[in-house]
Amino acid sequence: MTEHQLLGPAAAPAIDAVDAKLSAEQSFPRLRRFLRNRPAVLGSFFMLLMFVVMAVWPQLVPYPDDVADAVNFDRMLEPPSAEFWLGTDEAGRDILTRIMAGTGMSLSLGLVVISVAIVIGVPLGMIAGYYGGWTERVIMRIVDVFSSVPALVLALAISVLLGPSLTNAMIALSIVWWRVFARIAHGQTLSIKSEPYVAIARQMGASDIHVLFREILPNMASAILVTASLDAGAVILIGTSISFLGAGASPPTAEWGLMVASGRAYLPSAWWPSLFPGLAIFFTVMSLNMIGDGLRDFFAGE
Amino acid sequence: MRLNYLLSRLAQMIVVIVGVSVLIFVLTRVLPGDPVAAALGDRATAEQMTQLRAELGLDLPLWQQYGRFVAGLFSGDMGMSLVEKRDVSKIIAERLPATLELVLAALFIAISVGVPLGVMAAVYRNGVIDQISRLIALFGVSFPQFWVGIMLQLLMGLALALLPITGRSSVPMPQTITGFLTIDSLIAFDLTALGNALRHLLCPALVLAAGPLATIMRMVRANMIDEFEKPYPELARAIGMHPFIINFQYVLRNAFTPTLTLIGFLIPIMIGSSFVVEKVFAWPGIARFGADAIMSNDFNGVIGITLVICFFVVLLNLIVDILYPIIDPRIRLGGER
Repeated sequence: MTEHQLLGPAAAPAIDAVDAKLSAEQSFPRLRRFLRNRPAVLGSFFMLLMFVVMAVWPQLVPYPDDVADAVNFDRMLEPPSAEFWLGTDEAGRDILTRIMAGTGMSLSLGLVVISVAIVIGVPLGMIAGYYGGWTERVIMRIVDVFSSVPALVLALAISVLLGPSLTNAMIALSIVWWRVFARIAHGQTLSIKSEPYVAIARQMGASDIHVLFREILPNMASAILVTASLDAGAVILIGTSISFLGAGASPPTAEWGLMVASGRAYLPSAWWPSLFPGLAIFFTVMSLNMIGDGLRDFFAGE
Repeated sequence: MRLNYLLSRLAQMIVVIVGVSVLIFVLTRVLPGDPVAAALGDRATAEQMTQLRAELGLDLPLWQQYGRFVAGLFSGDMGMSLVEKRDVSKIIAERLPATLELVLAALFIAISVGVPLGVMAAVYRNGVIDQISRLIALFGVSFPQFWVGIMLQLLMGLALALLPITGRSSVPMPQTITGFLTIDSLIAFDLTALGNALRHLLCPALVLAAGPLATIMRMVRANMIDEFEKPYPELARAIGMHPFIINFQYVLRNAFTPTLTLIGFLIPIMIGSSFVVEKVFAWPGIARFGADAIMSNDFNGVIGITLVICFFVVLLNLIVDILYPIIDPRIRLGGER
């Protein structure tokens, strides 16, 4: 006798729903395990929200004209109110509007820099770990050179030398960040290389390319993913710092670091122009860190 | 064995420093940034620019410029700063103690607060302290330092009027001996000056310490928990040893090596952060000069500051390496166990 017959037809939809949920849970055990980590879920949810804002902010913002260089003399430095939820800045522009418009800049900064750094760093690290000898020594010494100058200093210098702009700040950060992934890929390759399945693949005549990209790379994906999500936050922090110091985005761009910098002149009487954009950076980076921590726990449990 | 190891480490240090000098030298010369245009402004004629370029030696081939630079370096000459119109080496000598004092104070706060908190979080795992430490850890690595610095200034200096929010001192300081205001005033036994210097140091050092404190705390916690799984802490408890001695003298000591590695990694990050913190708190150190030099394409300033920073990063990492076998006698230098 099935559950349907036992409980009568009225219960059927409920039972089906439970069944569907059960089978979904059984078929996605890994997803379910990730979803049990509440901070990670919260972080993912916030990130999702940010991507939505990034995509449709022109339809969402209350004062679309305030994104660029509009000046509204009649409402300069107004404190938060029902009309302007987060107040207005020194040019009378709505701060909420500008924070929402700046979402894409910070997210793409993290996304682009980390992607480029992975594409450059991971193959170099793998080559160093796999071939060893002089190749390894030269590559890892270059990694050491890049590591012994603080990321912020090198990125700031390169960004200014290229000519201060947000794009150049991204290029500068990518040039600086590849070493992080080179080091991780190097360490991972060294340990994976001695696994039996790599030896077997080699004995069966697999090419170096096959071993590197089909045997070794998939097995370090989790380590790279965790670092990528944690470092995306760090990259956003350094990127906004570069703009804060004046070597990234330039006014009137609605970039968060720049907004904090220009709001600073109106402290202490007007605290809102520098408080809220900073909070936006804080929540973004915190979500990325919560996701990264969640991913790390997740892979550690496997 | 140990001497051999130190010698090979010294050789590595030199390779890295030479590498950094080449890297930054090539970057300044190859990328489009131009110190001459920056120094002379928009109204300079082409003639003036060629003349200054020749004066600075920027018209020579790259390898000759580098040769001149290295030759100068050996006689302690890093060239002239275009921002301050003085020798870069003089500026660095003057400003270095301020940055070192700030970074070392922040490192001191990060270690002396982070390590005990990490131990407590591990001992009372999933308890209140552990939960709080988790929050501190998350916040500590998530906020932008320039923003927290500004907010701290707003809160401490302007709203509560508790602490000075810019500069290094506001009373006459005793004679300069080390350049560290705290140490100089201790030597002169000038308690007013000492208090003043410490009060100025507190806010910027706290901002600089927060991130490293958070990471150190989490690292200590994780490694303490791993150590607790081993049988010896249990045995020590069974024979009635005091928990404080077990935790701090035995377990912490065994669990500390990865934290030492972490501290080595944190040092360059902290020096980098000081570029932002010194700017916000008007701290008269090399990082603030470095930021100004970078912003105005002052090549000699940029190269001088980068090399000095690199030197300290490499040196402090060497010190960390030498500390390994002192803290954990099971470790032998040179990878021999």
